Formats: sequence, C-alpha cells, structure tokens
Amino acid sequence: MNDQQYVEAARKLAERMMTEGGADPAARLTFAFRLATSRSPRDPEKAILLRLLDQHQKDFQADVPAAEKLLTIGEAKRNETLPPAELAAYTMVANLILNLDEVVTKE
Amino acid sequence: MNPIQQFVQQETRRYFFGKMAAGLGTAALASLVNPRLFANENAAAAPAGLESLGSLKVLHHAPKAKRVIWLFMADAPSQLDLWDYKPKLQDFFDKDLPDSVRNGQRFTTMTSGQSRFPVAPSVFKFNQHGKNGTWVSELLPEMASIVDDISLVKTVHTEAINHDPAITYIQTGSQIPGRPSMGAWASYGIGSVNQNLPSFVVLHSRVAPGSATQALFARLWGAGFLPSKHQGVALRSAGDPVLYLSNPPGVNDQTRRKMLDGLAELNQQKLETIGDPEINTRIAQYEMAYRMQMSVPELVDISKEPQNVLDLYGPQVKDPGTFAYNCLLARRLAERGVRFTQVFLRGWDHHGGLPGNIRQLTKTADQPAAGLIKDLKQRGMLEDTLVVWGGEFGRTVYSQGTLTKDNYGRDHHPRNFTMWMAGGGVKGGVVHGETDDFSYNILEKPVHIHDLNATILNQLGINHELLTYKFQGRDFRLTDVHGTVVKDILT
Repeated sequence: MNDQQYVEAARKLAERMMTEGGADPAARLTFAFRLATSRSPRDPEKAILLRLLDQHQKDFQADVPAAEKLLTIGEAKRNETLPPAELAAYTMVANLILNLDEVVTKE
Repeated sequence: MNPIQQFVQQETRRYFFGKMAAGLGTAALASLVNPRLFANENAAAAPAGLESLGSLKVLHHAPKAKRVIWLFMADAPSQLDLWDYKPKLQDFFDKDLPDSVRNGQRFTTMTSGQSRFPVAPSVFKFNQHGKNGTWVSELLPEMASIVDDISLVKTVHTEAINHDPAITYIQTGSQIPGRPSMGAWASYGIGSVNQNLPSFVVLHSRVAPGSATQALFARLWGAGFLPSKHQGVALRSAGDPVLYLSNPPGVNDQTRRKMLDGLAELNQQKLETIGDPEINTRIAQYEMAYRMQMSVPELVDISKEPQNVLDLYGPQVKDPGTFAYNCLLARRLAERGVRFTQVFLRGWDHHGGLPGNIRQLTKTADQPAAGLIKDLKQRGMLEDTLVVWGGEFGRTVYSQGTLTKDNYGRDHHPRNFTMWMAGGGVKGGVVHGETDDFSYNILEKPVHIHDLNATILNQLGINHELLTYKFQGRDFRLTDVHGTVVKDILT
C-alpha cells in the first residue's frame, strides 16, 4: 500500500481511469475495478467507492499541496493535464482497489 | 473446523451484522480488531485471573507467566563447552567413543564416513557458581552470574538429527513442516493484551563473528492451519523494522483512515459473500499495520533508556540487529504486553574449529541474555515473564574432523542437550537431570522437547492437551499426542 512502486502504479491507474474510463466517476471506478478483479462492482461496492472518491476529492481540494506531494511519488511522469486534487483522489481509490483481498489473493 | 460448519457460522455473522442498521463495516471491524468486544463474551464471566483474550473461553488454570521470551540459539550450541561439565573426559582424550555409549545412535552424513570417533574433552574451564555451586563454562561469565535465577535443564532431547527437521520439531511439535508454531498457538489460545502490536513477534540477530550458520524459514514462526493473523511478525534487523509502514507524502492520518475504512468495508462484503476466513486476517492485518504506524517507532526508540539499563546488555546494545539490541527490544515488547517473543541468534553450528569460534560467538551472546534476566528482575517483571534459552539439539562428544589438543569440531547430537528457563513460575538455582560421563546419554529425568513445550504452555495457563484446533478432520495440538509438564522445575 505504501511501497513507492505501489503508489506509483495506483497513480498511473488513476490516470487511466480519468482518460480511458469514461466521463463520470461511476464509469471510471467500474473501469478500474474490472481491470483489477475481472468483474464489475456490485451496487453496494460501487457506492462505497463513490463515497470514498468524493471524500478524498474534498480533502485534497482543501489541501492541494498534499495532492501535489502524493503525485510526485515514483519515476513515471504525471499527466500534467489532469487536475491534481482529482487525480490524487483517484490515486487513493486506485490504491484501495489494488489492495483488495480479491486482487491480492488468488482464491 | 469443517467448511460447512464454518459457512453456517458465517451466515450467522451475516445475519447479525445485517441487522445492524448503521455502520456495518465499522461494527465488523471493531469485532475483528478488538477481540474483547464480541469474540469473548465469556471472558467477562471468567473467574479472576483466568480471563483469556483468545479462542479459549477461560484459561485452564491460573497462569504463572503472562508472556514468553524465547532466546533461540539456532544451529545448536555445544552443551559440552557451555553447561554440561564432564571432567572425566580428560582421561578419554583421543580415545574412541565406546560402542556401549554410542549404543546404536545414528550419525549424520557429515561424520558417518569417519574411520574414528575420538573423544574431544572441552578445552574450556568450568567453575562453580551461585548458591548451589552450578558448574558453568568460563565462556559464560555473565550467565554464570544468574544461575540462581534459572532452571538449567541438562536432559532435553529430540529425535531429529539435522537442523531443519529439528528446529521445525521444537518450534511446531512436528518434524514435517506445516504445523503452527508455538507462538502462534499461544496467540490463538489466549490472545494479546496489546492491540497495537502483534501478539507474536520474532527478532533476528545479525550473524556475529565466530558464527557457523544455517538458514531459517518463515514457517518456523508461521501459523500453519491456524488463522494466519497468529503468525509471528518478524521485525527487520536493519533499517526500518517494518517496511512500508509510513504513509506516502501527501497522505495524512485522516486520509489513510478513510481509505482503510473503505477497504475494510469492501473486504468485509467479500468475506460475507464467499466466507473465506482468511479475509478476516487481511482486514485485521491492515488494521494492525495502521496501529503499528504509531506503536513501532515508539517501540524501537530506545533513546530514553538510562545508561545503567543499557549497560546490562553490553556494548552492542545500541546497534540495531545485534543480539544485545534484540534482547533489549524483547524486554520492551514484554513491557508492552506482547505475548510471545522469539529472539533468534544463529551461528552455533560449530562442526569445525569449535574452540575458536565459540569463544568469539559467546563474547556477544553471553551478556545480553544475562542482562535481560537482570533487567526483567529489577523491574519486577521476571515473576510473570518466562524466559527460555536454547536451540534445537546438542553436539557430539566425539570430534568431527581432526582432533588436536586445542582444536576439534562437534557434530549434531539429539540425545541430550542443555537449555535453561527462568522466571514465570520456574524455580531458580535448579539443575534438572543428569547425563552420562560423555554427555551422550541421559541418566535421569529426561525432558523431551514435547515436555518442554507442554511446560511453556502450562506456565501461560494452558493445558497443552486441551488447546486444540480441528483441521482436516482431526484435532491437532502443539504437542501432538505427547508431552508431560516438567513439574520438578516449577515453583
């Protein structure tokens, strides 16, 4: 979760969510969830992710420097066209998805 | 537990949490991270002193020890050069070990090809120490100063003759890998009073000068078929004690908390759908890691330890990864309520050049162990902390390789070896059992490693025959179908 490479991978996934995942947050979350788990999130799962995305976004909008810091982690250049608070919020949710038991463990 | 039974219980959980109007994830989480909330409804009703925080509803009897620190001397120190004084061996120098003494004992393949098995008396002097005149080698001047606080058991024995089966055996009760380790059993059985640190912590010491050593494997402190949250957590001996514990820049505690809550909710939903109890472990471990973000830096900050305490452990105490540092850390873990700590010191595999090597190794291995006992004692913690010292087997009286007046090696010897225990309801100043003049066979009071393990659990308030876990249709326990508590050494 905190390993540099993991945080960096989460940021790149977040960029893909914002550029390839569709226009609205629900579509973007579904996009990343499917990439990681090979299934679509159920409604309750989607609700949790949406709520969390919203919270993170508010927090990072209130503290853009924190968002900027998070986005510097790793060697890959960040996509500068994406607003930092939003990208940081997606990065947190992407990191969450990449840490789901279902993603980390083969059942 | 069988899978159907498990699923039925799961269904009950789902029903229970489903009924809770608000905060499903939070309630589930609370029960996972704080076993006192739900899991232990009977603990409140337990008689005083018999409360359990683990799977046992109440302890089997009043405990003498609240925690265990095992200083594990991996690779098997030579009992003949440290503890088991055999003066008559001087007359047998370079004579062949009599067949009547060997009595059919198998050799390892390291010495089975030797044409002779010449007896190698220890080159080290022994002196009597303590009120009862316990013989201790000149290599252990510091441990000699605590003999009145320990029970020296000279007759521990095992069947295994090579390192891995032997260490697996003493750690898990079976020579074949796969069973839970003793620390995991303790965690499973009685839980931990500190929710901010793992209940079973493993500390590894850097390989010191004079060492000859074998690899160790994580399964030696693993949970086997017990839920994996009971496995030992090994702190790293250099750099950060736990990797990736710090949040990345830009992520503050609140952000982390929100993310972990979301993660726990999603994992909890998955758990209820598929019923894999190992998801519980993952949820619990993320929570443990979160709490360890605070507790570990505090644990390893020894800057406030006074000099007179540091001095007890010797000159290496401030150097992370040394045995001395780990012994101090073991005391700090004990203070914080960690149930089971194992400090591994490797390097006793002295097949050759034993006198020179063991002299080197004991220079850094002697004082910290004695210092730990003295430190616990001065804090009044020795009474309820059981300390164990020893390895997986002993070493042979005959020399491996060429024997000279001042040099020899010793091969593996399972029939008898020396360990000691202190505190936690163990008598001080006791020498338990006796071996023959060759330290090759037990004359009286044998203590099998199952007996040792049964005794350790006994001191924690656990009847080793009653702490069981059903796996693949059979109740398993640490001591298999063996083990007798060594009452002679108990207060």
